[in-house]
Amino acid sequence: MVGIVVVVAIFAPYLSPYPPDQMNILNQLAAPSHRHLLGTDNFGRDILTRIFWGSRVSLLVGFSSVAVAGVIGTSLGLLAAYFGGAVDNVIMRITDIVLSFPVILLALALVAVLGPSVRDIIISLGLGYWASYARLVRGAGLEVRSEQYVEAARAVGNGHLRIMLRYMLPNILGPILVMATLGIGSAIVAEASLSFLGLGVQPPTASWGAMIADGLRFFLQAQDLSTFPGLAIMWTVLGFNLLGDGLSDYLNPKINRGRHGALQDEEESPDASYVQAH
Amino acid sequence: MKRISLLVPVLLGISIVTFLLIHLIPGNPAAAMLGTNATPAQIARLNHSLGLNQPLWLQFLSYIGRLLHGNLGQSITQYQSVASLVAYALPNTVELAVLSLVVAVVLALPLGVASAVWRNSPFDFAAMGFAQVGISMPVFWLGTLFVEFFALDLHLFPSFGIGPPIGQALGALLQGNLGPLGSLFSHIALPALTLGLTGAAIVSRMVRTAMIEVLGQDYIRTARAKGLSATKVLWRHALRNALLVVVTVIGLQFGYFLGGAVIVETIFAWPGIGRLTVNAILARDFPVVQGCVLIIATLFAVVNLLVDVSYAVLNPKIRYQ
Repeated sequence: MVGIVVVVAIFAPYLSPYPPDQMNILNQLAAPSHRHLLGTDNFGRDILTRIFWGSRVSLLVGFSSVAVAGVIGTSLGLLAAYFGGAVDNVIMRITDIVLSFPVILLALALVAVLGPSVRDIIISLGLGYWASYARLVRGAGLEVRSEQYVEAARAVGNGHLRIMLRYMLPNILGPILVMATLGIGSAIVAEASLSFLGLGVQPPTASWGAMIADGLRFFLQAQDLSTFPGLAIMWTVLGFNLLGDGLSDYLNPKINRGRHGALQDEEESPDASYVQAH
Repeated sequence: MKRISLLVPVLLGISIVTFLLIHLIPGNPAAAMLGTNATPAQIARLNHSLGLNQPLWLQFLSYIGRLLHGNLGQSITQYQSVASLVAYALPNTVELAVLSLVVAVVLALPLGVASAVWRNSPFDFAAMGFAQVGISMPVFWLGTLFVEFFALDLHLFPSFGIGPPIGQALGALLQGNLGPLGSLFSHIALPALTLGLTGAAIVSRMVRTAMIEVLGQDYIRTARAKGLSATKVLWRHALRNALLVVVTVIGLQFGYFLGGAVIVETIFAWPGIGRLTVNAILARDFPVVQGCVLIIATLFAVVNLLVDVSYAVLNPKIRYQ
């Protein structure tokens, strides 16, 4: 499922039957036909084309905001787990504070002050999501820190940074990857929500959330305007959730004994419900 | 007690974040709030009234001082105190969140338990398949579909607005008048179903996981070995222990509903704190944005604390020092 969306996003210019912003005021809100397979919107633009191009924005925001959140959260989580004491306390209190804000609310507030560009949406979502990674990485890192190979690495004189990146990080990468995969789906929904509210990607750039908002505005004239972008979001998010859950099962030794490293346990491997609930 | 004392730095942190929000605005915040047509005199006046021309530390101290007196500032577009706007909107959001929670728990609890009991059966696959789809479905699309289908197509429910206040509806009910209560429920039905169904998808998966774990425990086997009926084992032994997870989930869901309310309230024009926030953002009314974000985050932090504390009370194995 994810593969199809990625291919569509990469090859959108070649797969799209029309340019994404090509308007035709004589053919507004047209029903699906052989010329426009999913019909046209209120400006006469081809909906299929805009769904293809919208996938680019969704995936760009999804991957980039998860990268921002993952890098910040993993770095701080590792620092907290490795150094402990005051460093751990300070980082975890900041994490508690960020986790007190529902992500969509924090993203809304940040987008309101920074502005509704793709870059600022990525930053806002990244700043909203990093705390979950920090908490996850700290938990996993605390277990790894007392392992013999980390002690050995310290004994032979490796520096702090090298121990964290070379010896601790590779051993806690599994749960991070699972959370990142599931997080992409959440970030895609968050971006679409912001665009739905008019605070996300600005027109004329195609965005699935904004297309659904148009569907609600023009429901009486064209009943299925919001159906196809809605299905596109659901397909993509479902794909990432299934991929994340599959990855979680694969990495979980309680399900797949002996197939992979034995560091992850059920508490450390988040699933789709966990990520959505945070 | 230690857990409760941890709330203090979190609340202080929340107030720092909300205070800094206004200072993250690129350029002059007062000019950004007033828009491009503002005169220098108007900008200077707003700078003065918001205290933006004072040093940052002084602004923060006066912000905290005002907060401690329950003063959230003044709206620059609605000419009312932010506290009065929040005081009107917050009960509506809580009403919506509570009813959504009821919908979520009522649907998810039997679904999750049944899926765990009949694990790997066709029922389990179907229920968890629906839950997976529900989790992946954006709440604003579900809300849009509900408006289109139930309100605009079938005319079963109003597509927007709020019914009479709950106190008034209950008062009328006592006098034998069902009308106001009916109006209240018809208005809240679609937003609560929208939020509740998405929540039910998440909760049912968590309940299922918790039940499967509990059903595999030794004491369940012992209870069965004692000859207790399957129903008794399920309800008296298994579900009681799985309820620990449900309490946690309820807390998490409340926070989720506070976030989701921002979207759902906008779709259904529900006059809650979420819609107040979005409207304030669109109008660049930052004192209202600050106030709403502060209240929602504080509420979220307090609910999380209550969940932690109740978890410790319910589970004798966990005691916070």
